[in-house]
Amino acid sequence: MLVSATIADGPPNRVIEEAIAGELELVLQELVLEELDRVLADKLGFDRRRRLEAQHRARGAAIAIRPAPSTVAPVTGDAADDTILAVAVEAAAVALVTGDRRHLLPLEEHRGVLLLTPQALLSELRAPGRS
Amino acid sequence: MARLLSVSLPDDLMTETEALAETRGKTKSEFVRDALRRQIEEERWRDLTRYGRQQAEERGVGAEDVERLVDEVRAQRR
Repeated sequence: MLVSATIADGPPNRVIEEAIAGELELVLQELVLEELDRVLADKLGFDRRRRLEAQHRARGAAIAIRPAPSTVAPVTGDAADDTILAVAVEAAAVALVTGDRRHLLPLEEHRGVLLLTPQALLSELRAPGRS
Repeated sequence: MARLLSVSLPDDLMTETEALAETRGKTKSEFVRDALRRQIEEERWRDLTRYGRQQAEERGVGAEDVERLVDEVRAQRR
């Protein structure tokens, strides 16, 4: 989701803007930030200054940055996504927001964590009755 | 080091600032500092995403390609 937010207008970008505005509490993890940096460098040709800027801005939008837990249960069929899921569970996150339609979104819910697309999260935030 | 910035506000904006700062339990200075910090973060984020869109466009990459790109960098790590 972070990569999408960085390169395209749309729900992922709006989720980050909501986090910057303090409308939601974003918890990020080191693995995701590391993958963001590698995609920006290797696939999108971001220069070093912009890569550092991306790290700085993403970290600034988050209320916490979490490391990978020491043990990760295999759930999704993908080791990296298992780690992402484990961190969300450990952080007692309300939702894990992702664009991953193969391993994460099909779960819908895992140990109290909702798996939501950025669009679905934004709809939740704007649902009537939400303070 | 803190430096002083003097800003004049129209009456309606000052009234809103005072009311909201009080509701949030902040001083006016704290409230304005927070608002300014947030505005700067938003502007910086927009500058970054403008650059990101440009980089993606030059490479013919869109949001629909992101999952594949992440898979590729993960595969390189293994």
